[in-house]
Amino acid sequence: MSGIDPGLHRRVLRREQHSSRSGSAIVVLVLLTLVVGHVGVEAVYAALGRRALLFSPVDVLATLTSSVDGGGTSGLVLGAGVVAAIVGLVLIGLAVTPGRRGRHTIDDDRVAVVVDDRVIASSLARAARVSGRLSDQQVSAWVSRRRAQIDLTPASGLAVDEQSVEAATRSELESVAYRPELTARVRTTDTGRVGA
Amino acid sequence: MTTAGTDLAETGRVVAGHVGIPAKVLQKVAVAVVAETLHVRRADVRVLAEDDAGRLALRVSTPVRVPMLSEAVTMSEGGVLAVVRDLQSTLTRRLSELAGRTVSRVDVTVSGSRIDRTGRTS
Repeated sequence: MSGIDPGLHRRVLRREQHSSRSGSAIVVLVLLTLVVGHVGVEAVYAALGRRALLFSPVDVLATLTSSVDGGGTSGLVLGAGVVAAIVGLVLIGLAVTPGRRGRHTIDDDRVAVVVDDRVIASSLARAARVSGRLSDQQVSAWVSRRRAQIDLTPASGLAVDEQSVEAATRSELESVAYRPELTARVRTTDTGRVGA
Repeated sequence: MTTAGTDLAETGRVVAGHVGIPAKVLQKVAVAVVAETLHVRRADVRVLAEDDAGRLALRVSTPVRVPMLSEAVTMSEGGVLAVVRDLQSTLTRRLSELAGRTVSRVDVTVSGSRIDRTGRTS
């Protein structure tokens, strides 16, 4: 089984950890194809001296420049500009942001393992619950890329053993080699719950 | 978390598990303690348990037993206030013993008085 390309694991794990951009790429390219096709068809129609099929791209350019030159902006041009700006910003956002999916990987020679952050969070919450002898309403946990945060709500008048919870969550994290590495932080909220 | 479970079972010291006491129960315990301490009926005592920055705050509304004014019997030193102060410390101590909860404050409202009749008249 040593025949597996080590790069394959890396690639698969990367794919699983980041959201795909193919959807937006497909949409943008289809739209681009339509625009280019339209320009091409209209170019042929214009060369043959016939009337434009839908509208002439040259007229569109004229409309745009007239509004820039101070020929009075029409609502349609303004609206189209705003929509184009918003779409552009969204596309830039999609292109630049890493698009992480809230997952961690586990180092393993044989298989590629991907763990959802919610699964890690609930396993940490469970460790905290058992070690701190708390009910499940008293523990909440979330996991980000490099940090795991565990919030404990004490029962009113009953202090939470924060140290043992911290030790338990740390050993829980150490038992599995998550990548990127996680550091746990345990915090007790200021207010308690009476009936816990 | 099977590892922690077996660890705990092997040591035999602590058993994993949560022990919850609902607010209603805490209030009933407090009512019982107040009624016992002041010798008043449970139905006359009202207790509200609240959170006070992670500790327990109790709001007690109870009548207080006072001796008949015409009687020669004098009330204990300090009067009603002393009775209430005593109730606060008793309630704090008893709730810590019974339910293991640290009480940080006890607000007491005296809602009335019950005349202590001595056996002479009846």
